[in-house]
This record gives sequence, C-alpha cells and structure tokens, in this order.
Amino acid sequence: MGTIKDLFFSWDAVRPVLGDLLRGFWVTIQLTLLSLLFAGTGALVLAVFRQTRTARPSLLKRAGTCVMRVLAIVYIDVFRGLPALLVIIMLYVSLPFTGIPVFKDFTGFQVAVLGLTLVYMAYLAEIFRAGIEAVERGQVEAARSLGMSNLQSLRKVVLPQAVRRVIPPLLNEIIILSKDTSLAGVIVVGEVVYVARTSQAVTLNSTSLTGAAVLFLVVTLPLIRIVDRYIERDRRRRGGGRVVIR
Amino acid sequence: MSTSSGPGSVRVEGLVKRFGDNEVLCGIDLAVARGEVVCVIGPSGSGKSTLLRCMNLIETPTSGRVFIDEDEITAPDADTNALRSRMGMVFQQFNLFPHMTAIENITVAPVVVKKVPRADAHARGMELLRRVGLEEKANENPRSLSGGQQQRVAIARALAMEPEVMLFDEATSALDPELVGDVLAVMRELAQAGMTMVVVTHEMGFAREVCDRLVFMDGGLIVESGLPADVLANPRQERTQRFLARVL
Repeated sequence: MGTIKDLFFSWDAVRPVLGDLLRGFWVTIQLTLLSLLFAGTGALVLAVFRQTRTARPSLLKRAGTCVMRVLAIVYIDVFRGLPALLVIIMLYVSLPFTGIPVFKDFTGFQVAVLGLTLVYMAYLAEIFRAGIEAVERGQVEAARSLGMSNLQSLRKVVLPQAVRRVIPPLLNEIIILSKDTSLAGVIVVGEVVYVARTSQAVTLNSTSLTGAAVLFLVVTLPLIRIVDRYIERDRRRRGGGRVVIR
Repeated sequence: MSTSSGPGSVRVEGLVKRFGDNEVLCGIDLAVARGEVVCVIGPSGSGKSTLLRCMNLIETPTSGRVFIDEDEITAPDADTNALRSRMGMVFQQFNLFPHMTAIENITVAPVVVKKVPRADAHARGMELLRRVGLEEKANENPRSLSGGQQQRVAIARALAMEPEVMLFDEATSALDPELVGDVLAVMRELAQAGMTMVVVTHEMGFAREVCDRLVFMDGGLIVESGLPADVLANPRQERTQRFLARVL
C-alpha cells in the first residue's frame, strides 16, 4: 500500500510541477474551447447543408442544393470514420510542406485545434442533424406562411429548437472532446497530459499523472452531472418511465 | 378594425396537385372576392387542406395558377416570401413556436420579415392579443396555454403580418369541444370586419352563419358551391347529399 501511495499520491513529488500542470491544463481548456467554437459553428452549417432540400422548380437551385448535400455527406462520413490522432499527425507532418499561406506556418497548438475541429465538425454535425430532424414540419410551415425566407425560418425557428433538443448529446460530445485534446501531446503541444507524462518521465513518480486526472475530473464530473440532470428533466417532461427491477 | 382596408382577393385557376400517382387536386377553379368568406367542406381526403396549402405554396402545385389580387404567386419569378406574407395561415395543430412566449410568437415575423421596430411590433402584438382576449397571457409559453388559447395566439400571429387574406385549415378540429367557441368567435369577428377568408372546416354551424359561400369538395374536385343555406338545406349533387346526411 505504501508504494502505491508514494507512487500516485505523493504531495512532495507533485508540488514542484504544480505550476506546470496548471499551465498545461490551461492549454487543454483553450484547445477544448477553440475547437468547440470552430467545430460547433462549422457543424451547424454542415448539418444545414446535409438537410437542405428545395421545392423550387429551378434546375440550377436544385442542382446547387444537391451538390451541397452530397459534399456535406461525404465530409461527415469521411471524418467520422477517421481517428482524430491520425488527422492531427497528418496535418502536423504535412502542412508545413503544402505551401498554403497561413496554414504552412501553423504552430503545433494551431494544428491541434484544426485537427480537432475537422473531426468534431463531423460528429457535431450528426448531432445537430438529429436535432433539426426532430423539429416538426409544421414549425417550418408556420414560419414560411408568415413570409419568412428559408434562412430566416432556419435561424429563428428551426435551429433554436434543434440545438435545445440536443443539449445532452452535445454536452457528452464536449466531454469527449475535452479528453481528446490529450492527442495534441503527440505533436508536442504542452497540454496537461503531455506535461504530466514528461514530469513523470523525469521524476519516475506518477503523482503528476494523478494531478492531471484530478484536473480533468474537476471539469468533466460537473458536466456529466449536468447531462444527467438534463436527461432526467426531459424524461419527466415527456412522462417517460424508469426501469424498475423487482 | 384595420384589417378590413386594402385589397384582398384570391383566385385559383386549374390547380392540380399530385403526390406520386395520387392526384389529390384535379383542376380546381376558385375565385374569392375581397371581403368574402368562403367555407370549404368535404370528406377527409377530398383535398380541401391541400387546396389551402397550395394557395400559399406550402405545397407546390403540380400545375395551375394562384393569384393574390393580380399578382401570380405561382409565377417562376414571383417573390414567394413577400406574396406569402400577404396571406395569413392558421393550422389545425396551431404550430406555435414553443421556444418563444405568446407575444414573441406574434412579433417575430413583423420584426424579422418586415423590419418593424421591436417596440412597434410589441405594441401591435399586445393590441392583437387584446383582440383575441389573451392580453394577460403575453409572456406565457405556448405549452402552458390551452388548445383554444394557443389557436387564438396563432390567429393573432397571422394577423400581425397584416395579411389581406386569411386561410384557416381546420382551425378548430384539434380542440376540445368546449374550447371551439372562443376560436370561432374570433374568426366570426374577423369575418365581420371584412377580412377575406378561406375556411376549411367541419363546423357546419359556423359555415351556415358566417360564410358567404359554401364550397363542397370531394375527390379533388369542387362538386358544388353556393349560398350556405342553399347548399346545406337543398344540396343538388348526390355526393353532397350523402356527405351532409352523415355530418348534419
């Protein structure tokens, strides 16, 4: 028992690296929030493209929405099927050689944000799509009958309801995203897991890893509770039942 | 009431709507004069709702033309949104926006579509709520309103766009019987104020008392039309007779 306590819970071992850990965790939080912001925005657009149909007789408009839809489907399918780690590594090793302005000079941190954004855009788009599909047809009909354009009814009527309905799965995905930021360590971004591992390698004591775990739980546990409460509230509102085992 | 002013005639010419092989409307001609109230009755599946939905292009007609005044809403280059906002529509299931309060439901379209200043839209919205007798419910969510109250908010929402024509798609069919009266009262008041109205309904009493002309539809066709008292008391067509024998 003594060994385990010394190995994982040694205050003396973690004290010197505490500042580094907190700085690393700040990087983790930045990675999470920035990726979430970009991926969330992109995902909304993707989900809308994915769901767009037009009843307009104009062939050009029909072709346009069809192309948009197919592109969105291909993007979502491909990036849902790829490991985030592979995407991040591919970007990291190849972006500098592409010669694409701005992108070729990306730092590791920026590459990590880009990689996570690309992958999570696909995941979040599927969640938003489910939300959009759950909004009754009558809502759009009412909006359009009031003279709203497609875009106006989307912005004022469909998306607010769609997003509200998918808050629990959205929060779940945010939890997973926050944990996936640790993949950035592979391309030497100083997020908390990378910092903890480095310090463990120097001191041969695992308490820094425990510290990283605690920092993660501080953020993820409340989120998990919130998801549960949302689901419970939803269940009560819909009058759903519990599973009772006798 | 202000809604009686302004033009507001609707004309439907040779309207055909097919869903796949199923022809729901088989060439409908109908002209509704300004200020006229036309009730459409008929068995379920006769195409009356589809007719209404084609009139403001919620369903795209397969062929045929729809005019509001002299503007063709079905023209390929028509500004559908602008023309649509001149026709208010009230749905069987109310279709209020659940994420907005009653007053927000009413003000959203004037603010977003017509760019009416928020304060003006709010004042007008409150006036409309007063008119349908729900002023005190302005800040309630639709979920906390009864069906009849929801439908009256929905009528106020449609009126907020100051339409020239109002379309009612079985506006009372989803309501408990004791809630129907309040909604019909609002509709009756609108009709008396001179609003052009096309009303798909099963309320024969309303049709008899309020409407200027009664149209009976069956199998995607207008079978019979005339003064409500005549059609209800002495239907000429056998199909009308059969239908009325069942519902009256």
